[in-house]
Amino acid sequence: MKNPVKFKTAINLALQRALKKDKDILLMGLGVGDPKNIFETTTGLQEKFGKKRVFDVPCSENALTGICVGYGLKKKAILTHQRFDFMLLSFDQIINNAAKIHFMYGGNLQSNITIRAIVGKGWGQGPTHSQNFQAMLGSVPGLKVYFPFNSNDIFNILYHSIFDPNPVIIIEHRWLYELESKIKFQKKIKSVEKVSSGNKGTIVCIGNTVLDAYILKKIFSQKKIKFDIIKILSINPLKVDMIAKSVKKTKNLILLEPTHKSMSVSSEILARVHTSGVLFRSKIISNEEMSVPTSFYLSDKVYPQIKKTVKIICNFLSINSKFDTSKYSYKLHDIPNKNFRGPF
Amino acid sequence: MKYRKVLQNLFLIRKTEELISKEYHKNIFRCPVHLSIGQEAISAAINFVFNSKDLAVSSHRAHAHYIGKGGNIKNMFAEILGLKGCSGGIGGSMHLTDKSVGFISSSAIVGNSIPVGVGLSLSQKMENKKNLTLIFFGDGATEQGVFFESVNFSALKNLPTLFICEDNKYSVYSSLSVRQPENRDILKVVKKMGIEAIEADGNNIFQVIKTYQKAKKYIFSKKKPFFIKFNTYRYVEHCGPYDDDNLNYRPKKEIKRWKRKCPISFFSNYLVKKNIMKNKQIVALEKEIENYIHNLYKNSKNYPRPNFSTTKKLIYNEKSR
Repeated sequence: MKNPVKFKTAINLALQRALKKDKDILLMGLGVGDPKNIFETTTGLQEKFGKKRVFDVPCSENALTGICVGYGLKKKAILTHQRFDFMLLSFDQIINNAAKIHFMYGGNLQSNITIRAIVGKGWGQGPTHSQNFQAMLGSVPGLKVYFPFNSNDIFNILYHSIFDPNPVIIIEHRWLYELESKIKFQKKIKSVEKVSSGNKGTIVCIGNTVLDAYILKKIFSQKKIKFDIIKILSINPLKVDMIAKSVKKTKNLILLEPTHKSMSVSSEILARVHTSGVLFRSKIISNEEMSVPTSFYLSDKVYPQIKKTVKIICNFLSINSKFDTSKYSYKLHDIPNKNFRGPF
Repeated sequence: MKYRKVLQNLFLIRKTEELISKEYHKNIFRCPVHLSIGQEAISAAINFVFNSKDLAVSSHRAHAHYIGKGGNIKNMFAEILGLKGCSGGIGGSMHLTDKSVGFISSSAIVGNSIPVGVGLSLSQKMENKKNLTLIFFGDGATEQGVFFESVNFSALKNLPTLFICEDNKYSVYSSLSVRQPENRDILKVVKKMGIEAIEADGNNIFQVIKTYQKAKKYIFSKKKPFFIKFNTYRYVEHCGPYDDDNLNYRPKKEIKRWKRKCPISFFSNYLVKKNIMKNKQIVALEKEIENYIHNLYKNSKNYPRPNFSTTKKLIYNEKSR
């Protein structure tokens, strides 16, 4: 097998590995098995494992979630939503059933259900195709919520989630799909990972903002400024020990929030690190406090662009902001790479 | 037909519900209860047609289905008492389970357990065994989107699902007239979606059993789901132990008519009329069951209280990893 692999290929490989291991696993979702195969993540799986196990479904997000919960009481089910926004239709089943089923019946029941929810960005995704309510999911007891960044993350998180007796939601960002990295099977999922070391500050990033953190790392290395970069993989449960430890050293906490700031995962991390007794300064860099407009001429103002982010960080750290960001600034802010033409 | 056993089942449900109703004022059942008094026949008939490998899910009004499926009554009492009952004291009256008899779960959100039942029948279909899932819900649930989504999926995949609507005409205090257009016929709607559907008198246990048998035969021979609407009526308030007819939300004539159709009197009268059992024997059986239930209740009070720290550990399932 060719390794490194793209993020979307890693999904496909994890699904294959799981479907092969347990023949009772079902994989369903709108678009599973259609010509586009959920942005090529389910390509070839129907041919390999049959239409009884891998199939397209009616537009019934809520019932499908309940059906997977019911099926998951006996066996295992994977449900895919092409947008996180569509999953909102199923919050009754997610919150009132899936998340509580083990708890509410005194530990007598469990349901193996894994839900993939893809977050869109750019190419006019607009107010209802670009939402990520990760913090909302983070507040539900009994749910596990992951937001993987690279191919290795998604490969291991997806595979292990399928066999986790708890309900798991995996948030996937559309802009990470074409990125390549090496995958290696891990026995356990990491919930948080330090990906770089430095003393100037602690950068906390989640999902798609991990990419921004790597870009910041390169930009700041122009003046040999180094940060601790901590990648959050598990939003629920959320662990902040590693962050607190790092902040104790660096005294500066920079949080790259993938959504907007209010009631966010970043503000939660900030609060938790604060109550752990560490004294530090902090800055959250996030989307504007609004739903994302569709227009190309508006959406660039909503997402923090790299040039502006560098400026904010320099101000925060009281350092000279003369950095060359040209190499990392998108000429067209609404596409992840020059070949991307959406449509979604 | 095992007449005595049928009557026994009817009394098991009635006496359990009556006991809860009678004891409720003592404030020891500290949770909402939705009693099935008046609707017993639909549940009392379950085990004459289905076995423990046939699964069942239910709604907020679940006591009768749980008992009808053979669920442990002592565990249920303990659960409603807030002790370590069938759901560890976490679920209460509306979240019952007894996997040993195939009663999987009940839910407090209207319509919420319907897709779960469909998912269970999907797993049964994959197993290729001759078992089905019974999904109990009220007339209110047939107004939920998830009901139609579930019917659609079950029809699409030809699942062994038996949808059972207990139409007691009211969703809390709201009558059908404020909830559904006048000529909406759920049987026609469901049929047009591809599911065979019939209506039956839910207070006549002969009809209930016959309807279940017909449904079961259809599901296994045609390999398709089936829908039943049982007409019935609840005798006490929507939630709680008392009669609430002073609120006048149900016409007096209607109440009177349905009380004349009590499923237990109906069956008892039949037994006497046909010389199958004597009135004296019926009264004796009623007393016997009443004592039996009372003893179960008494014993259930000795269950331990749930422990908070072990309860907290149940939020996530860490066992099988």
